[in-house]
Amino acid sequence: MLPKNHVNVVVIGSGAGGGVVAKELSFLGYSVVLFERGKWISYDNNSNDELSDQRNQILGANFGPDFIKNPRSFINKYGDEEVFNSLKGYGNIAECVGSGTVSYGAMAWRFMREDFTMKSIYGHVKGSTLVDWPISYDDLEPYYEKAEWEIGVSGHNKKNSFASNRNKPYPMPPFEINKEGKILEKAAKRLGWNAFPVPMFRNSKPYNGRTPCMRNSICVGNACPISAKNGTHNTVIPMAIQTGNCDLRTECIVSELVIDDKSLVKGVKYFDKNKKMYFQSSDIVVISASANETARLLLNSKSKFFPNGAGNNNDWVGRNLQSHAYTGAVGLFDYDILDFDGPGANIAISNFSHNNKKIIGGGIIHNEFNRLPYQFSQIRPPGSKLWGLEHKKFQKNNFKRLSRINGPIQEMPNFHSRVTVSKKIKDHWGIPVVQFSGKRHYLDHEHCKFLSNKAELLLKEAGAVKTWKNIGGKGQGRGQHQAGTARMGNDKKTSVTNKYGQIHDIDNLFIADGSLIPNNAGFNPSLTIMALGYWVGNYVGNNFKHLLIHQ
Amino acid sequence: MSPINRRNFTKTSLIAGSVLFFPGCIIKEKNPSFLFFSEDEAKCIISLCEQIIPADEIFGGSTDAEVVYYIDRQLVSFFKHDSNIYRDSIRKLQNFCFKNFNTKFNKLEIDKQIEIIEMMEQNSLNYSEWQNPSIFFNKIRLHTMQGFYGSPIHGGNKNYISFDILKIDGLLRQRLESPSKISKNAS
Repeated sequence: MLPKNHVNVVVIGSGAGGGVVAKELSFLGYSVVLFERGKWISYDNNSNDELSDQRNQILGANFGPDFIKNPRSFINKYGDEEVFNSLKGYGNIAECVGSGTVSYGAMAWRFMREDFTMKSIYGHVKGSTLVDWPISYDDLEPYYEKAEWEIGVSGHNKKNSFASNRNKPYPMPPFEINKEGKILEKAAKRLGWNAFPVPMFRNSKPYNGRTPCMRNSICVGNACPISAKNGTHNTVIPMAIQTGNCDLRTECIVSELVIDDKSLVKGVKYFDKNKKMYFQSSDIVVISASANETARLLLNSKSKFFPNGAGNNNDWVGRNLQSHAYTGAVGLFDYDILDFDGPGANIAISNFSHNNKKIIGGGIIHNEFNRLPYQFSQIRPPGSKLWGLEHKKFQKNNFKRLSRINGPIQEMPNFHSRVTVSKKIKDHWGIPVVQFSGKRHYLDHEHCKFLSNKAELLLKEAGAVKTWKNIGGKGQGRGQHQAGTARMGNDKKTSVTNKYGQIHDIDNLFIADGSLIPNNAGFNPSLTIMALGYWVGNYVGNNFKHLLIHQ
Repeated sequence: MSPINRRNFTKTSLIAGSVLFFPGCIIKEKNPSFLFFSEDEAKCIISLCEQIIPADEIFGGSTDAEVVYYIDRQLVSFFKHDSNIYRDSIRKLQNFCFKNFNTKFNKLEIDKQIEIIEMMEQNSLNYSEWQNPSIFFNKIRLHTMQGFYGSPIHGGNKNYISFDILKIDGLLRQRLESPSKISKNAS
């Protein structure tokens, strides 16, 4: 194992959290190594193929990973370990510079004030580990703002009457509502609901030296051909590299954190693309590898004081795994309601995020980004023919006549839905892989029914001639929007990090990704993960000398 | 042209087979036609796919779109884990047809083929050697949809036939066709 020159900070993972942390610390003059196991994405080699886009992943995933080299397993209904023979173990998760922020739908939601105090509002939920966050909306507000301005978000400052307060407006105006959105907006108004433009990580005007969106409607699951969709790959990561302080190492996979007998992390072991192992020492390590991989790395890093993995002496690492159950309804219209004017998801309704009768939390609903020809072939009213002339005729007549409203439900975290590491299965580099077990809380499906009913009501009001529901919430939440596996908290016994993402009892080891999120709200989490990146990065930067003296 | 005529037309043309449709492959490959299927297996798959997405009065179906090449290519790559079920199921289907009709599936009348597929879908073939044909049918149904409605870079959707059916034009059409253009430029 070859040693590399010592640096101040190692950041593991270049997605929504890690990209931000690397930028924050390299701007303060600290030397940073940013590890990414994927590559830079080239648009020309990766875009617009429905069967390999990040949404469908039928013939691989354009934005990674390769599931043959990176297998995952799960505990099946018979209690046996089974390896996924497809990308199902990843559920749209990416592996490249910028990670999911290259191919995401790019909704830029702030969580609501209520999402940080769920336990106080709703009380104890049986079978759930629902808690209050150790930080409040007000703590995170300035960091939301920083994320919105540095990454670039377009949105309407006033139209969402349920949004929590903001101190500064969005940097860009919202997108104009498309044809479908206008029809739904009017219907929502008739129902007494508040429809407003979806905030987006997309340029609605020239911003940050890049061009505005050309309103291509298939950029969810794909990269933007003109870089008008904003992620960490085209904002904070290039900014970090430009300082000269950040060394981005692609195709490098970190296998283990090295923790010494003083309960401090000394650095990381990693493999480069030639499968050669190195040791990278650093003053501080920040893990931003995503809720699944961060938990895996902690569990794979055993040491004298942490025989069950770093930060896992109370058995909370990998627990409370959440994502988002999507739920909604489909409406068929007797005219072309779609004009395929991007970004697709265009209007949202937040009336059902909180304050619902008999529901804990809730979720937003919005019109869907797109449904490309293959995906569309799988959307039919219940009882329809799934093949033959009738199926083909439906396909031909209704491709532009279908509106889909859905949204992410706030999942109830539970202790038994978890990531562990496999005792048998290893990846291409010999590292034990992620193993999933457990399932969603039973209330998630009930809550999905509630939100699907609202979606169907909207479609009916909008004049759909036929509507049907897709009700989610069963199985395990573990794909995109993954969260919760190293939750932040004030009590060491029921959390993995303190409120600054600092692992309990390992003072120079931090986390900055969705793992920290105690409950994942009813919104897409990327803006919140970026805000947490700024929050943790800011703390590490401001306390760097103190953290070193401690060592 | 009536639907039946159209179907008969495509049925005849498929027998001419891949050599006519893919003259380029003869130069590149030792086996000009298929990477996984035998010629006989391919005929059975072509018939199944054609009933899953048939030709109609105006537009061709799976045969015209050359969906069989999509499936064939994936069975040696992304769908390798499905190769056994394909081989097994084709054999069982042909055995079933021989036993009951004394001919191959692909030689049966179209209406008979549809009837058999419906029984496969509902697990009602009543054939003791093949208890759960719906498992295979659901696979080939999805694979046919992928080959017909996906990008031609994977085989299938020849001449963007499905994009024409769905009347996809403008920017969306450009975007959906772009992978093929990139692929052509690269080669």
